[in-house]
Amino acid sequence: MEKAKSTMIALLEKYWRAETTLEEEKILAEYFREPSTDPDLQPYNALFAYFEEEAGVLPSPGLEARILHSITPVRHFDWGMFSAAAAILVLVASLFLLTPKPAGPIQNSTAVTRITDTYDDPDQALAAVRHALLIASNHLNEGRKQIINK
Amino acid sequence: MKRIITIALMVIAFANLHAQDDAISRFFGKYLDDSRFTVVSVSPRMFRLMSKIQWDSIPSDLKQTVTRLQSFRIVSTETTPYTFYKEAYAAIDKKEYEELITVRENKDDFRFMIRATGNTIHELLMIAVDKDGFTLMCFVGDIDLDKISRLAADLDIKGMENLKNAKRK
Repeated sequence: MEKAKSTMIALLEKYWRAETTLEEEKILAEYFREPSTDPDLQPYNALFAYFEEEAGVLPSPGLEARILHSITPVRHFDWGMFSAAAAILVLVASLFLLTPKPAGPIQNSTAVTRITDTYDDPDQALAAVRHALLIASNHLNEGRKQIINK
Repeated sequence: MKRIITIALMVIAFANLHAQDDAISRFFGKYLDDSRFTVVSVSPRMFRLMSKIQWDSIPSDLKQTVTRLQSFRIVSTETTPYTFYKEAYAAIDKKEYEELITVRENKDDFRFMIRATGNTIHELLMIAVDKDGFTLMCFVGDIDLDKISRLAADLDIKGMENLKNAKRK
């Protein structure tokens, strides 16, 4: 009996250090289940009875499914993205719809027109552009002077 | 989402290309085939060819202005200039072209109009009239008005008068 007691104490100490094997824990559980426990060790009866009782508690049916359901990301319809896409489409559409269309008797079509070169020689073309820029420059300065003088 | 943005940008780019057509094409196309008008055109292709020119002797403001241009056109006539001027001015879409400078002396007028996005000027349109004639001048590209203003200051003003006369030839 004393031997059994000392074995149990040794096992208990091992148990508190969390070093017991499953087998040893089974021995402890069986020992404390018996009412004939050594009086010194009887306070542990209630504790082991409690462990056994708690070990028997099973999760309610469907728990795993509920957990999986709550942690699986659900793909909601993204209204933000939808709104952004719609806004861009409206913007693009308005570019075409709101661009002023030519109207009136002397206006021409808006089709992109190919410009036919007057000159074949880039030097001559540059001379013409240069002349025109100087005329524009002169007029710009004249206009600015008039604005300043007003 | 990325795909939508890419498509939108492509469409906007296409719309911009469409907008590259100058005012002369859009509002005054019929003048181009009218024998009463003199037309001078320099196409984007020709502007690209100009890169082969010897630019050493060209003033830097002029070089920088020209290299940023895409196309240029002048349409002018000596026939009923005031009538054409009035008709042409009425035809320009004022929502798109902002009036920059207007100078009026008796019956002689000239106006500068620009088409711009933010601070970037894409087109400079000059429309001018005096008793000798009516002129529409259109520059398309990335236009720097300050640089253009400085071009005349770099030349002597005598030369400018000769240029003005040369235009009418």
